Amino acid sequence: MKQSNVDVEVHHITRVEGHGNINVNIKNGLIEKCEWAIPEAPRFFEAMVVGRSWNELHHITSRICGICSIGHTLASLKATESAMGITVSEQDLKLRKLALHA
Amino acid sequence: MKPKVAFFDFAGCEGDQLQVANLEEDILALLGQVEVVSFREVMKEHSDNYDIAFVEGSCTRLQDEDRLKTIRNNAKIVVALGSCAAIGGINSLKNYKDLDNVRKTVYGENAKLFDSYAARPIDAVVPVDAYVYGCPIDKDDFLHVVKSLLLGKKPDTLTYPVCVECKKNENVCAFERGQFCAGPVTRAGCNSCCVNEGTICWGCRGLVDNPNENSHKEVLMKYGLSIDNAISKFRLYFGWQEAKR
Repeated sequence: MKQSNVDVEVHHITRVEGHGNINVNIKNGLIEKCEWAIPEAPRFFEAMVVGRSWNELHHITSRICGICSIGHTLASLKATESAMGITVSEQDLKLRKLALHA
Repeated sequence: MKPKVAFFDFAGCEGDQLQVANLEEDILALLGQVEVVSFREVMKEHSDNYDIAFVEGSCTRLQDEDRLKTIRNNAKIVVALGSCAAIGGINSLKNYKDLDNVRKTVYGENAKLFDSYAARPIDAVVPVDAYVYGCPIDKDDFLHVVKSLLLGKKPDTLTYPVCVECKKNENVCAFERGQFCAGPVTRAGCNSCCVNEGTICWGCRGLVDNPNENSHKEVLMKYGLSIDNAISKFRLYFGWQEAKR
């Protein structure tokens, strides 16, 4: 193996939602440091939804991510339905899959 | 020379910047008028030399204030982009809870690694020149604000509630459908988009200036809804505004 030295420091990865940094140091072909850091402010959604009405949860959690808000909406609906023992119709499922793929 | 614009984000979902990235045919017209020098969500280039800064997200940590102040110093014009930056938005939900508990609920024994203070709009930290409301922002509203700024005008802000637009759209009132709606006290400008689609106004554009509280209480009474319930619903977005009042 080639004895290489590589330093990678990516300060804020671009073209994604959220702030992430990558730090990698390779010395003589050996990885000394390999870090993935998330420096952005936490928002505490798990605590924010406590005490809120069941019919607000999907609206709140969809705000976790602007890019994949549909995924968060559907995951939240699924959790609420599971907690309340609700089975949704085939039509609902198809509509949700359509939303995910649109 | 085209004005240089930059986009920044604090605590938020970056959905407002996504609305800008999704301007579709209007994006070419926009790029004909401005030069985008920083926009981490869609490009890797960055420059600290800009005239207009669009800032998305709330300020939720002391250490973020320095970054916000630097942006303010670099820019001639600072625009709050979206509910979190303009009014505090959904992040303010945590302001009603004990913050140490909030941190422990999510991060357990590692809570000390995650600093946080009450979520606030960016004008609680630095002066702001213009606002684009909404969660997410409306594309036309954004373009209207940009056009006004490029013409050297202060963008006008609507001072009537969503109900005005909703009536014009001839929607059946959400209260008539047996639901609660924040439309009577929420700032217009969205063309009542949520009610048009059969749901309710969630209040994402924030409390309108001088809301008609007495009239709203009458509406709540007429439909047998409690004021406590209404306040709880308002707290989805109005948290910082309520604390200020």
